[in-house]
Amino acid sequence: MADIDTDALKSNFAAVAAHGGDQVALYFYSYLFLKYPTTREMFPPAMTRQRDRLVGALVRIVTNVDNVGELVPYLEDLGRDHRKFGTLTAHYPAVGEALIATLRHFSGDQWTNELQANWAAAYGVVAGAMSGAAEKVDESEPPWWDADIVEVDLRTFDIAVLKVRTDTVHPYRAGQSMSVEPTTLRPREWRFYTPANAPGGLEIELHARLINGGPVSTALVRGASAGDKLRLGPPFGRMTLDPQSSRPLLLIAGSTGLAPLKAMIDQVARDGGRATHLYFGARSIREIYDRKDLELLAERYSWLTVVIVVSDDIRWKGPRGLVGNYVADAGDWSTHDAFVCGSPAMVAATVKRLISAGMPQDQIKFEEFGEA
Amino acid sequence: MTSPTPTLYETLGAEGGIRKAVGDFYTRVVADPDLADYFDGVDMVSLRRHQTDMLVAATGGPQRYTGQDMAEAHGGLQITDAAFDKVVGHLGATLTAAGAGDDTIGAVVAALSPLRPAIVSA
Repeated sequence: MADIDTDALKSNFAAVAAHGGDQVALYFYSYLFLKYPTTREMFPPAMTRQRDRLVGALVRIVTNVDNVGELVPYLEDLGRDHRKFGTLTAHYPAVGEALIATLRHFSGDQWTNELQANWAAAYGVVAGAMSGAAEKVDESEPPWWDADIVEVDLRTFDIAVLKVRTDTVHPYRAGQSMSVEPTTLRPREWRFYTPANAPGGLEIELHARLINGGPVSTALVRGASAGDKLRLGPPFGRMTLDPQSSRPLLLIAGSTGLAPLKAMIDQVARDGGRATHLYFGARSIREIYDRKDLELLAERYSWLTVVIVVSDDIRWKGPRGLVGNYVADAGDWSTHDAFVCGSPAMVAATVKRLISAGMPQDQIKFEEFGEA
Repeated sequence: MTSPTPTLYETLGAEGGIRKAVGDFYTRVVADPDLADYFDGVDMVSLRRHQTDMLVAATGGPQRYTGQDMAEAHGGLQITDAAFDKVVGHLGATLTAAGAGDDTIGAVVAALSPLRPAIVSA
């Protein structure tokens, strides 16, 4: 960001965050709802998770404030996604005012006019990227896509595979996610999920894992049945196949991080096939929730190899260990495009191992699923 | 010439100003169909007096408040985040109508936002 003292922003943000993320978020939302009460209707009934999300988004933005290549696409996705809340360009100044009032309050004596000007300029860039991306699609795309649940298949006590059917084709690409609202069961609660099949049709496969206390995952895994309505937000994320690349693929999944990688396999199949290795990591045999499909895919496609690696189950006769370690030791991947998806810990460990095994960093794309 | 920064108590117009603002605030709150049920059967005269005493004490005026703490006073009322935020909105409208500036609003938010975890229980 030109003309913005990003180091000053980072150190001020660190000082503010030291008061505790929840305190900061409590102040922010109290300010916003006190001065602009009508904005409350855009938020879910219970605010605890929303406060965590605000802090998470702020951390992500401030951490990447010097990395415009990462930051701007994220903000554009976020702005486009916010249309489903009814967020308009006119709402951005109220949020900016609440944000600056919050930073100022927690900065105490450290607050200066320069800091205020820096934050105002940075917020201007953020709001411009978000509202600009939203306005760009205002004419061409709806704020959300309506869908019906067709089938809920409970694969383990905490993982369900859902088939849903949209009214019109959703424009995601293989590997991208979308926010999902269980409209019948938990209106105004959203969580990101990733289709496990290639786009183009009306049917979408979603893999949902129960998150302790999560309203959306609880609704999808425990409560949902055929006929329930969903709303799907716009495409989100950049973990997609590079159309310019013809390198062989290395796909590494942990738990429901399998979904985007399965979508890529589906896409590759439609594009005529290409050498692909899929490694699926699980702690126990029970967690291999999509085994039948994986075996079917490996049987059907001669270009596809599927390896299941189990870390903590002595009954498993196949490859054992952490999937990232196993993959890194299994061959030379320096000529491949790698895609990694799973828990934050699994993704971090796997990417680190691949890089230290000599894989070029720019050939690795990854996405982690949130634990909260 | 220097003058000490006025306390929030003084900015809000001391006891008279606070009593008037509390009256205005509860008029807005009980008129809200989403909130009215919480006040069903409540002695509003006594509630207004308690609230005035508490705000007088909390903003730097005479310490007279002898009521319950926040968690005691609101326990069992099943107050939701949504209801809390509607009350916050009415408080904002009250302050704006009373001519409060941004500094006052910031100070009120600072006093108010840490109370939520003690009050919201549903």
